[in-house]
Amino acid sequence: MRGLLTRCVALHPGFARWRWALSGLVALALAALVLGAPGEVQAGASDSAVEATQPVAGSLAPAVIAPPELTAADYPSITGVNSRVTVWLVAQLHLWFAAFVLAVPIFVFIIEAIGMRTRDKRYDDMAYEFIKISITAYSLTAILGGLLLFSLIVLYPHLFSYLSRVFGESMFYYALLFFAESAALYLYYYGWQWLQGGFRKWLHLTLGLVLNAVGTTLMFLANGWVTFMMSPAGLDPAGLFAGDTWAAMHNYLWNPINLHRFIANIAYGGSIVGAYAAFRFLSATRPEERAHYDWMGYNANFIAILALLPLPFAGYYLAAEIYAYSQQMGITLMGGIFAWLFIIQAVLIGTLFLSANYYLWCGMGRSDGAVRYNRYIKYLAIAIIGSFLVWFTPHTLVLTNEELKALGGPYHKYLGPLGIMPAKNTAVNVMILFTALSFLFYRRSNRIATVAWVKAGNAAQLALYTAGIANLLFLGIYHGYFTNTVYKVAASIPQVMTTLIIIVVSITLDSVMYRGAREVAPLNWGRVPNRAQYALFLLAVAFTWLMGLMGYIRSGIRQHWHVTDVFRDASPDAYTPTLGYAANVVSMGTVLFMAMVIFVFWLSQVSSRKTPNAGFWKAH
Amino acid sequence: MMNNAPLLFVITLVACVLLFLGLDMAVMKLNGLTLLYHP
Repeated sequence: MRGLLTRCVALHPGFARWRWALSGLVALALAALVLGAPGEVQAGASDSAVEATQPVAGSLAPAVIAPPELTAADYPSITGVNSRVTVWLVAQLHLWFAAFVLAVPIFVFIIEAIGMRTRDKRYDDMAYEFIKISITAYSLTAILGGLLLFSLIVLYPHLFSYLSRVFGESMFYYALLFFAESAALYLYYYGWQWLQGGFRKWLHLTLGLVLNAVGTTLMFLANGWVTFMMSPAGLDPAGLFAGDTWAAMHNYLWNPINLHRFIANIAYGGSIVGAYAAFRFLSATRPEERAHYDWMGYNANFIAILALLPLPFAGYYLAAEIYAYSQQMGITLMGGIFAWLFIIQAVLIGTLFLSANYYLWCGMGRSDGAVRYNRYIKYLAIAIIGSFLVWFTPHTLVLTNEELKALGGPYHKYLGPLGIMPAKNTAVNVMILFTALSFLFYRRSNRIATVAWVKAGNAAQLALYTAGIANLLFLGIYHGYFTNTVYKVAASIPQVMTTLIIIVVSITLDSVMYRGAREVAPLNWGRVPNRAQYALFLLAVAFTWLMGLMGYIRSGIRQHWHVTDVFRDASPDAYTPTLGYAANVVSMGTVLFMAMVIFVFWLSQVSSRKTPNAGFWKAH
Repeated sequence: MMNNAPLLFVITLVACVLLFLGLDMAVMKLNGLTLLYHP
């Protein structure tokens, strides 16, 4: 690294000037942020919606902010516009695009770094193409963010007034940070071909790092506002906020949501880019185009699966923290009205796993050497489908009185426990393991190991998987049927660790086993059936719908509160809608989002087209 | 022995089973519980 830097300084005599100019700019920006920072948030004395208690004369206590008590008349309305559905759809559309534009720089940064390491220009070109798609999406994210802000101000002014008093500082910095985000993104994209080779490439990669840092900070700030509404902190027992914005931001659910959204964004971004690659593959006219977009789709699917594997654990952690914060909220979430939505979630997650695995199995056909593994695919499919069936078995059933009597109670004696977490955790861990196994088969499809101990290595791999799956089944069945709740919840941790150990050890073992392996038949990029591309479309659509559903649940468990237990929602729409209604709104949002995404994809194609226009322009 | 795949399978299987059981007991103990349920 040091050698590289001195070489670059020698090659670029202007570097010293560059360095001072850049440092000066950074110092100026920091000074502006620090010196220009607003003072403590003060409640406006003339604002009748917010009561401010006057500090005792001579004391240094800041004014406190009390949430207003509203009535239905305090909520403005626009004729023909349902306020709740408007804010719901706009917020969700904003979040879908935001997830995409935050995720793309993460894996573009990694792909660019891989390209620099391997000096393979294909990675650099692919990274450039990915960031190109996200540029248009970035504008749409900002437009939807602006629309969300206006919707909240117009339709929920008192709520927004309260939140902006609690979080005024962070909202100000959030707005300022967009200068940095835009600057970093535009420089990163427009400077791609300019900042090539040697030191400039490192500078470009650093820009990517800055882009990711700013984007992640933006997400963390916004996450603070939304989690404050669910699990408020920094308030006294009377529900009054005394000015500690950090305490309000650093609430119970902030870090669980930060972790879950960070990982989920990567998986989601991978699936959307996969859909883009599938779209370009299906509309390709030349074999080189097909090969290029087939390769891109494979990489996107790989990114989506890689992030999908730890995601259930991040989600479980979030749900556990919701329970820890408020047992009532936790039970509403998974044992009450919203329980059946988690069955829909299970169906969608199963779809994601099946779709991702199907794509891998289709992809094995790229190499003639995969024929020897074809006979195992049906067993992988049986295991994943079996787990899927367990995964979406409900706990509470909708039963008539006769059915209740016939069943002997609300739950089936043997199938009932399939509806609770030990069975669910077993199912999802098995799905994750078999997905990893599909990937291992894919990796082997075009190679033969040349090490002397290949039979021993395979025996060890088989033993590892067998022991691990047996352990998962033991933990799930024993704790699911024969223990109490405390044991059931605790059993999930050794299950997760078993899965992680198997994945890490088996991939390491496989990499060592296939070092110097002989290529038995090359991978023919482009030789993949069209139905594999539809699996990529399904991945993107299922992911979108799933995010919409989970977003509704996360927001809906607040029920009749704007801020749980602190600021009551008195609007005419403060009710939990039926599952069907909620599902319809999510579907509507998904259709709108997909329409916008197709526009973004189409734009990326259009931008490289040129129409011959001889005869239109004046001749000189 | 290294080339005797069935034997190696059995040895690795037993080793992994013991390893996973040990992991289960350690994690449950950290949570103040035992591997097998005691009401």
